[in-house]
Amino acid sequence: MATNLEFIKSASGTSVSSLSVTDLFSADYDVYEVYITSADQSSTAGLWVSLLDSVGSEITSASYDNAYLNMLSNTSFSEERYTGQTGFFSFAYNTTSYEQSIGFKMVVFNPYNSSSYSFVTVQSSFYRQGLGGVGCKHIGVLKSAETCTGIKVFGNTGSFDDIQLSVYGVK
Amino acid sequence: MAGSLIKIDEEIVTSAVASVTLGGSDWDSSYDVYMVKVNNIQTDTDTARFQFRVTTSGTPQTDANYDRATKLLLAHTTFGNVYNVNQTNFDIVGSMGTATGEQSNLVMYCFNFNNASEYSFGTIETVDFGSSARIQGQQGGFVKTTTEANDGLHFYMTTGNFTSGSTFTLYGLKK
Repeated sequence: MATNLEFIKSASGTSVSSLSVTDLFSADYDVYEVYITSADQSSTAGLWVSLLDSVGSEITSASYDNAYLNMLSNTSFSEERYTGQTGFFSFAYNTTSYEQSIGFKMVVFNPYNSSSYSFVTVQSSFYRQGLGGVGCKHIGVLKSAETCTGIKVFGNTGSFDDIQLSVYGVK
Repeated sequence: MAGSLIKIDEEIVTSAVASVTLGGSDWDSSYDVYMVKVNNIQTDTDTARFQFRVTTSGTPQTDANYDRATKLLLAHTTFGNVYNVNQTNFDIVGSMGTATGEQSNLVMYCFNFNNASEYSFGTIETVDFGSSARIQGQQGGFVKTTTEANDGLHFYMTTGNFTSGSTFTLYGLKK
C-alpha cells in the first residue's frame, strides 16, 4: 500500500555558517515536515529558518511573525512573540559539550502556493547549560504571498560544526 | 519500502461549501491512531468561527460533551490558556474572514475513535492568520467525554462558507 508521507530530500553540512536546501517545495504537496536531526552549533545561539523564493534566493524581508512557548525544565515557562522578523527562529541553545543536542520538527503549510502566506508550526527540544532541557512550541507566518521552494537554516551567531535535516511531503 | 501514513479520505473544496465531513462512510476502522491535516482554510464571510465536531455514523455529534485545554500562542500579545468543558464543539478559530492572508491550518491526531466503551481523544496544533491580521495558534488537546465510537470529523464555519482550495485530509497510522 502506498504511503502518504513521502521522503523528499536530506541535506547536511559541516563547519558551515548556514545550510540552504533548494527544490524542496513543489506543486506535489501542500504540507511538509522538516526534521532537523543535528544542529551542533559552535557557540550558544538561536536556530533560525528562513524560506527561499521561486529562484532559490533567501526571503530576507521583515515579514516573518513568530510566537513561541518555552517550556523550561528548571523554572517557569516563558513566552516570546515577535513581528516583522527576518526568519523563523528558536530558543537559543548550546552544544559545546553535547553533540547533536537538538530535536526539531517543523510543519510547513502552503509554501508553494503563490497566493497564500506560508505558515509553520514547530515542536522542538534543546539543551542549554544552566537551564537544562527545554521544550518549545512555536508558530510562525511569512506574510508574503509568494512561491517558496526551499529553506535556509542558520544561527544568529557562530557556525554549525554539523547540521543535518530531512524533509518529507505529506501527500 | 512500505510506509505507515495511509490516506483514508480527502476533501478539497472546489466551490463554496458550509461544511466538510472527513470519514463517515469513508471511515476505515482498522487504525488506532488517525492524523488529520487541514490546510489553506479560507472563508467568504467575516467574523466567522471555524469549528469541528466528531461524527458517529457520519452524523455530527452536537451534545455538550466536548472538553478542551490549549495554549493560545499569539504574536501580538500575551498568550492565553483556553479551557472549556461541556461544550458542543471545538472552536478552532474564534474569528476569521476575508481580509488578505486570513487562513487556518492544523494538524490533529485522534485516538480511541473506534472504541465505543472509551472516550475519544485528540491533540491539535493550529496556526492561523485571523480577522485582526495577526498570527495565532493553539497547542493542546480535546476529549469527547462520551462512551461512543466516532467515525469522522465534521468541520464547519458558523456563518458563510469554506472557499475553493480549502483542503481536509484524513490519514490512518498503520499498526
